[in-house]
Amino acid sequence: MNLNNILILTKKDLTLFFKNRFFSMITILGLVAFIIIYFALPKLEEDKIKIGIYSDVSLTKIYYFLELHDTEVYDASSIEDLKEKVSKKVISFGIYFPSNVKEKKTLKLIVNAETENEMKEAYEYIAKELFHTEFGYQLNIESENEIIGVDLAGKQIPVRKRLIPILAFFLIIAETLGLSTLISDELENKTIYALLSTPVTVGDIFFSKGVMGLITTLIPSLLFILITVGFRNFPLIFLLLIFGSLFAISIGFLIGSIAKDMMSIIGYGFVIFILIIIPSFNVLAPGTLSSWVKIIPAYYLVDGLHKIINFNSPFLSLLPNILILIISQGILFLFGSLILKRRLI
Amino acid sequence: MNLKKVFVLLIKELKLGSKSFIIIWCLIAPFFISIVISLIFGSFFIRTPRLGIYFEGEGEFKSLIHETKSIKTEDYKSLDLLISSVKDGRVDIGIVIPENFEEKLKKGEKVSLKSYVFGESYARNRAIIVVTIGNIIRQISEKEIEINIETENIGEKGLPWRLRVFPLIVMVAIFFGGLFIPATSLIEEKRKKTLDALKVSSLHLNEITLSKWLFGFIVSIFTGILILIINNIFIINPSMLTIFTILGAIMATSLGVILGIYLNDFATLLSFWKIGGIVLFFPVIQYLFPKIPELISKIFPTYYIIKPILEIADKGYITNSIFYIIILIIINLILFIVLNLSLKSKGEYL
Repeated sequence: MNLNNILILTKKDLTLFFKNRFFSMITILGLVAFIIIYFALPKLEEDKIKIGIYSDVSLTKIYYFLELHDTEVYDASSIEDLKEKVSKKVISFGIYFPSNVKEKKTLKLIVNAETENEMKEAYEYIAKELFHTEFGYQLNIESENEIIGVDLAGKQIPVRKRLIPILAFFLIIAETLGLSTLISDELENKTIYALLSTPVTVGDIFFSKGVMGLITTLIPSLLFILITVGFRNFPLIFLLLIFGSLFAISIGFLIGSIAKDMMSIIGYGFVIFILIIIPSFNVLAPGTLSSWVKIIPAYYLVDGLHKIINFNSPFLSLLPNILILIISQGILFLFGSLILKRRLI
Repeated sequence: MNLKKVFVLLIKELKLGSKSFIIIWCLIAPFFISIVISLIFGSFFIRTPRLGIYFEGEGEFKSLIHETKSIKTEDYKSLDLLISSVKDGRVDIGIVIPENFEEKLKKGEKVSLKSYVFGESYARNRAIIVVTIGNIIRQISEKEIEINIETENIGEKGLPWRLRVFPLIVMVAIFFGGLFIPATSLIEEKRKKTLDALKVSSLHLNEITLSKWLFGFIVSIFTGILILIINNIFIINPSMLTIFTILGAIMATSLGVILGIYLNDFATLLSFWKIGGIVLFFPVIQYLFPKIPELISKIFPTYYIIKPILEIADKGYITNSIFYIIILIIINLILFIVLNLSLKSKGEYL
């Protein structure tokens, strides 16, 4: 492998990339769009039930009960106030305790019509529980709770922060097809044979394409993270992004080696994209998908970034993620090289 | 323009296209994506609290907890499986129901319950699970008091989650094939220089582009209506839904042809899809996140396809269909003018 050749080839690919003004402008616009999405989303995540209460009788015990269960309380000044707050979704639902509540055992529940039936049933249970708590019908139960993982009740990670690793991942994989195109183009246009008639080797060509891929995948994702997160945990993020980019390059390399033309690049590309995008939804909504998503290596990139950005995880806890990414990209590169060798012969 | 020639070209497109990976993918993708979307967003938007239970014994609690709608319950055969499920976040809380649990309750003895809580679970989910369990325990312990709850609903009923994700499915169905097929076909012809061969024949450029437009249009209509049928929506109002699908397909394919005229490679087309997709799919985002004002969505042309289809799906009828049809016809006319101007200005360089 000749470093000078690699440098010249990378320069050539980069020039071709930026020569297409539309292509480079779109890449920048994509990055800008993701940044706008991030800043447009709310800073805080509301994970508590907000109960509005208006009562004609004096209430004491329920406030302790509600505090114990991380529930926010809004003391309404009137039923109208309660209804207004429900309609404006300031509170999840409202309860009205009339003066004869204890005798008639009747409560009024005010809910927004948009509330799902499941939630309405849950709110009824809450209202009943509050009645029992306030008027002395408590359960003789002792509970022992064990929190598994970091307890985020009341301090949930906002969606926009959960989106950072996902959007960074999207920026990385979005360039995968670009790299496949570079490889496929050389094969389709037979320019690879012209290059091989010079002192350039196959290794030089693909290493330079790898460098080019690393530049186009790493820079947008790195910029996105720097703008949204800043320099916090930068070395770890940088390290993981490099392995993430290499993983994306290995996918691009494999697609480029298999694909006969651009049509098949798009065909294979979309199938692979959908497959590798799926695990990212588990970061957005934990538990949404079963454990099987862990067989997709992309999971370890998004999960790793999520751990660093949202939980400040140390290097050691990320080691399994990095190792899996290295192994999977090694396998993909190997397959890509074998297929390519057969095609070049 | 000779319609016979257009028909011959269309048959050629259909014959060659049916072997192409991208065409097959354009036909399959909407269905594949709709399944993935339904699976992912279904559980993402409902966010019903999930409770995992390991029963050390048997009893009434098991059947009662499964009957509740406020939480989703899942039984586990061992404590290890329950803990692992909590760890993965598949359930918000996992509880162990000990043996003789119900007997003790009925006798009024103190009962201990062990629970495992997923750290990232929402406080609201935890609270709902606790009160739901409390409600069932009261029923079993026969200490439940008959409490009357009078519920008053405020405001208008919102869209159920199934319909909130539906615009995304419809958009993918109409725009995926509609936009990609004519665009990729034109780009491919330009790349392989086969367009030059066609141009030197007696064929006019308008006939070539119309055949490609028709191919995209057929696929777009086919996938769009099939998605509506699969989701049991087409039967609600077939005539109106067909009209809006046709108008949407015209928009998608016209845009696809325009892109095919201007773009020379697939990488640029994909880049357009990446950023232009935000413009096309913005109204979809508004339905997923209703907090975004509807007014913003009205700026985007695809809003006028999604809104009437969704209104029909939700209510079974549409109040001002003429308004949406006129707007869509205007948009399609503008696209038609742009397409013709593009053909005139770029035609000779294609």
